[in-house]
Amino acid sequence: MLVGGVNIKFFVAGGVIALAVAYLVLMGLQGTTVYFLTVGELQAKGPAAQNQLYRVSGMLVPGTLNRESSGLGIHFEIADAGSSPLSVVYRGGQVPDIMGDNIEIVAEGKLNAQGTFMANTVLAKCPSKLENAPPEEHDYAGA
Amino acid sequence: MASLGQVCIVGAFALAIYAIVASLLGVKKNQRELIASGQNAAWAATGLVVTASGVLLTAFAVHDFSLRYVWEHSNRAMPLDLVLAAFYSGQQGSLLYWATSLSIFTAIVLYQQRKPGPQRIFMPYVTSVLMLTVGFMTLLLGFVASPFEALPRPPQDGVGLNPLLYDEGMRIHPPMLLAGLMAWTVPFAFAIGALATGKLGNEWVQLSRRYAMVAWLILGLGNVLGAWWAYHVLGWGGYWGWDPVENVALMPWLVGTAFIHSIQMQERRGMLKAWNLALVMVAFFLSIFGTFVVRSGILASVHAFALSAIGPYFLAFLTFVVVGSLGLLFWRLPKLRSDNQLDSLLSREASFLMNNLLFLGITFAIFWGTIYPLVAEALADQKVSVGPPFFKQVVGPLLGALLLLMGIGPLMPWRRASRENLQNNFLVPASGVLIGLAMLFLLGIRDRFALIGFGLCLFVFGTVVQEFTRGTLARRSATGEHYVAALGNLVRRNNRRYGGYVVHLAILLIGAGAVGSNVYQQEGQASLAPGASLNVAGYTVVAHGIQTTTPPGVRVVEGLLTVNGEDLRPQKQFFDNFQNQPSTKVGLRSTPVEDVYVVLSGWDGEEGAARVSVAVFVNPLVSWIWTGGLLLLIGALISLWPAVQPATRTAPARAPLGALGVAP
Repeated sequence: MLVGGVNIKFFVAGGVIALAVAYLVLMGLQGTTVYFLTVGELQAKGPAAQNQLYRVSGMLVPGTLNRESSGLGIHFEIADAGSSPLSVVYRGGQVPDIMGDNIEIVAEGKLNAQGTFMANTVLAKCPSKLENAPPEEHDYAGA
Repeated sequence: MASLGQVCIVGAFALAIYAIVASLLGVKKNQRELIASGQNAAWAATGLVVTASGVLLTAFAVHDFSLRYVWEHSNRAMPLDLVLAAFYSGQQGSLLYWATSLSIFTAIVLYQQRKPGPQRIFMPYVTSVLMLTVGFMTLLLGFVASPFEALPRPPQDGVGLNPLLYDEGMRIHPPMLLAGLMAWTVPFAFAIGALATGKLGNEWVQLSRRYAMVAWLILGLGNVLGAWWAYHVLGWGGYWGWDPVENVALMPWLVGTAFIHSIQMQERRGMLKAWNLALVMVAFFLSIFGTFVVRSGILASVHAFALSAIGPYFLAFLTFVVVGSLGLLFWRLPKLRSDNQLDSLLSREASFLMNNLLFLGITFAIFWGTIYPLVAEALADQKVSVGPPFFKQVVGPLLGALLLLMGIGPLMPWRRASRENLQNNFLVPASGVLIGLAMLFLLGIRDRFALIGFGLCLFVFGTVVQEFTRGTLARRSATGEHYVAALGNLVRRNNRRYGGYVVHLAILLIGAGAVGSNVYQQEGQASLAPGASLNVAGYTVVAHGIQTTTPPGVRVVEGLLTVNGEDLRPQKQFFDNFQNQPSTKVGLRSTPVEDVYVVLSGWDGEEGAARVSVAVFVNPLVSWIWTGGLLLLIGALISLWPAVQPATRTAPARAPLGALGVAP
């Protein structure tokens, strides 16, 4: 059988591939999308947020970054303007190189019943990115 | 210095505009001199852009910090080759690099197509499209993001290169990738030439095939090198993170791969004419989209460049080329009928068609996953992140289907396969797969993804080996050559086909490496006191403290480790000018079977007495991916090698029938 000069079985075969792609994309998005919240937004959700995978971003509260005595895990607190600090525990090993006070942190993980965020990934956003601050902000006058 | 560069850029912009106007007007008024003048202007624009690059490179080489761009991206402590590589490390420089590479491509095309011939009819349009893109880049360089911006008071020393870029990979990965994106402009320009002239047959396909192959090769190598760089530098144990910037460089390559396959349908059977035009357009759109994403900061990424003023310009340019070229395509659609119809689902044509749909399907999935965070934020005001799990889950099965087709396709005859064809062609590879899978099972491979993935790779391997064997034996029995000579001549005389098979082997090596390292990666972490050890997958890592050294401009902390008795020293480097941003140098011991990959994640204490925190990954088959990259290069070069001209002799002119006294 021909449709527009093309054998209909090719439309069927093409349609099967298109449907398979659409199905995979939809299922993939439902299963793997992670909501991105600020510390304040996470806290506003209250206990309902427990045990769900979230990405939370906030600034590292100065002086709160500590290594566990085993040397592997780290503890720290993050906060954003107007939120109370959220304590985060991370035992993944790969601590970002630039982690430090007042660096923006993105942690992915779940909130436990004690209100501690158990992260399985921690990323640090580089404040200068790959571009540098303009020369006005650098002290190069004396150089 | 600054003003010379700036003058070159503005001059190149003016010449590019002139080249477009003269070429198009020349066609309209049918004036050859005007067309020639347009092409001369394109040559001159190329010269000016290359000169501008030379100026910037010189400024880097002599540490001319009166240029803001030089000051921002280099300093006196950097070795000369990295100082020169800093050329393309920032936004303005990579724009100039793009303009330069595209200008050079333009010059190559103009030179290769200079002789009179059927291709000359396309050249005014090809020149115009290339100069339109060069013009766009020089517009940005001249008026929006100039690398020649001067600083009021030249500082004594520069800021320097970002530590992440301080690596051997910097010399080769960015230039390959950026040039690979730009190179798609050339086949696109021929497509526009075909649409504008209405000569929609095979000419433009044959003209642009080699340029498309070169673009495909450069972009493919750029991607493999990017993976290699990420693996060595980023220290998370992997080589492909499905980061937006990686995705946008992969998408034009995937569509380009579809194009390279589907043009064979047009050359052999006169089919898919509109489709081929559309594919090369999409490859070009995605390349421009890639440059836009890389440089606009619109998507959050590890490559996060600062948000910049050039985003809206890119969007306007992209809209213009999409609307313009799709408009041309619709206008010509009535002339783009197929010469032939598809006959059977079991045919070479059908497998090419399925291959194309899968490539586009994968591209669509990656595109959607990449821009979904933007869509969700714009439409639903929700910030979401789409990470590697999405891409692995969606793209994995589609890549598997593609591998299957890679085995089936080359064994399918054109038009229609018969029962004997199928038995004849698939019996050996299919039995090979069963035997291979049984062996893998006995070796302890039980994971079903691994069995499916390796099984598909074995199938492709079997079909390729069968093709080489059959061809060699057939040639040997026809010519009586020795096996080696027969194989050599077989490849030389059918270089396009057998080069393609070598590329298929390369892809299956990359596929096997991806399956092995995804399914069987093992990792362990520990904080080790001197003499303490960690076991991961049969490797014993023993720590002996740290060692600190201070070569000029940098402080290097090395973890002193042994892995099964051999020394391994992963590092952290603290550059004087980027103290808060140390960079990682992974300790790597690589074998064909697996890599031991050690990251120094921290330390506590002094030198030999320090506790050392390490993350250890054992990554199977990763080196297969790099071998695959090399084989990809070899296969593509075989395919691109100029074809052997068959020896010919002109036949004596046949006397007309009437002359022999025979009634016609």
